[in-house]
Amino acid sequence: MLNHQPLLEDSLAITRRPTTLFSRDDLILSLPGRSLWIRLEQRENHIGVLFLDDGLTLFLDAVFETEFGAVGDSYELVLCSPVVGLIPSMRLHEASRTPDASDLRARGADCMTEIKKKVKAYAQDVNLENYLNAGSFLVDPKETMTISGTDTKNHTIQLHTSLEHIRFSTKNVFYEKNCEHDVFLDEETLLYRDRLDGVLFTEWGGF
Amino acid sequence: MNKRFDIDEEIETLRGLKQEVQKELNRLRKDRKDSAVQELAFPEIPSSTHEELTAVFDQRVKRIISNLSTKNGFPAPKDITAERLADLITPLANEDRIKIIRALGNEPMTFTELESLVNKKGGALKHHLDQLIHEGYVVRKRVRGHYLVTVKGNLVHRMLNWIAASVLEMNDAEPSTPS
Repeated sequence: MLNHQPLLEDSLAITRRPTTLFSRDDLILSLPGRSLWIRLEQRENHIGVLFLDDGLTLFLDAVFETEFGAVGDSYELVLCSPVVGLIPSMRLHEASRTPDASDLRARGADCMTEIKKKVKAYAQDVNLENYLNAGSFLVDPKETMTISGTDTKNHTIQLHTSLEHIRFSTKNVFYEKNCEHDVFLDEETLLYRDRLDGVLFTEWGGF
Repeated sequence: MNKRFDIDEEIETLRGLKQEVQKELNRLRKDRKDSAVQELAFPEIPSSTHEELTAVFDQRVKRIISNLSTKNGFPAPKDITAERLADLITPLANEDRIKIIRALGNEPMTFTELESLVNKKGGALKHHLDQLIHEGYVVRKRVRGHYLVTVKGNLVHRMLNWIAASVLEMNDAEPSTPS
């Protein structure tokens, strides 16, 4: 889809104000104002969004409460562009407008062609085709969300959620919660909690 | 891994065994005293019960020491520098912070609830919480703003509690010096 200039122009947008894209008890995903993004489509179906500016912020409570105390950590991560988000774009559309020439100049581009080149380079960086193919297989895009990018320390961030499931990974951290089990792994701790069989700790932090 | 958290249970068991050993020793001493004359004629035969209890006691002590060794995860006490030890203790060397850890052990609390608990506002409370969070004894959920005590925080608090109780017990057991 990125090979089509008219589609690119139609799909490019910039946020007018800070926007919360996703919010629930343990997770908030927010985007600052004046943030450039482009809609991703596969065979005319909405798949997700490519965020072209830094600043997408993820607040995640990857914390489990156990009878021995809390295990895990809470994260506030600012993601750097490009970020692929296989997410619904309704809220983004409501909070966005078409970018003008000054928006493009602010990003070092004098015209749409230069932005298109930038988007193509980003698409290659993140191997966008794979995400688009994966996104087309999501059971219900309205109920699922996938975010993939890097944070300010250049650590890869992967997040996937659905109604009953969340999986998050970054450098040396893996967190998963679903209806069957909880998993938290970092440099100090491994927690595996099966809903039926109980809790397994293999380490709870060295002194 | 749950074994580490059974340390209280182990200690209780040891205390029970210690009392049994003490009772057995007292009984043996009493028997010895009662049969002082007979001892001259018949050499002392060690009590099998006493030997058995001592062996069990030694075994338990070895298990606890083994659990605390480097081989099983914890560094040996000699490997902890004075500075690091101070870092670990300092967050709990304060009445308000101990209150916070104990309260969070019962349920997660918000900043406002903690303000009421320790009767400290804003920056003063944050200073306490930052120390606990920095050492990993407390974690703050960013989305809902709840504070929770961690496994590590619970462990350190319980161990310090146990040490304090042991020291107090030892102090109580020491014979009072005549004035």
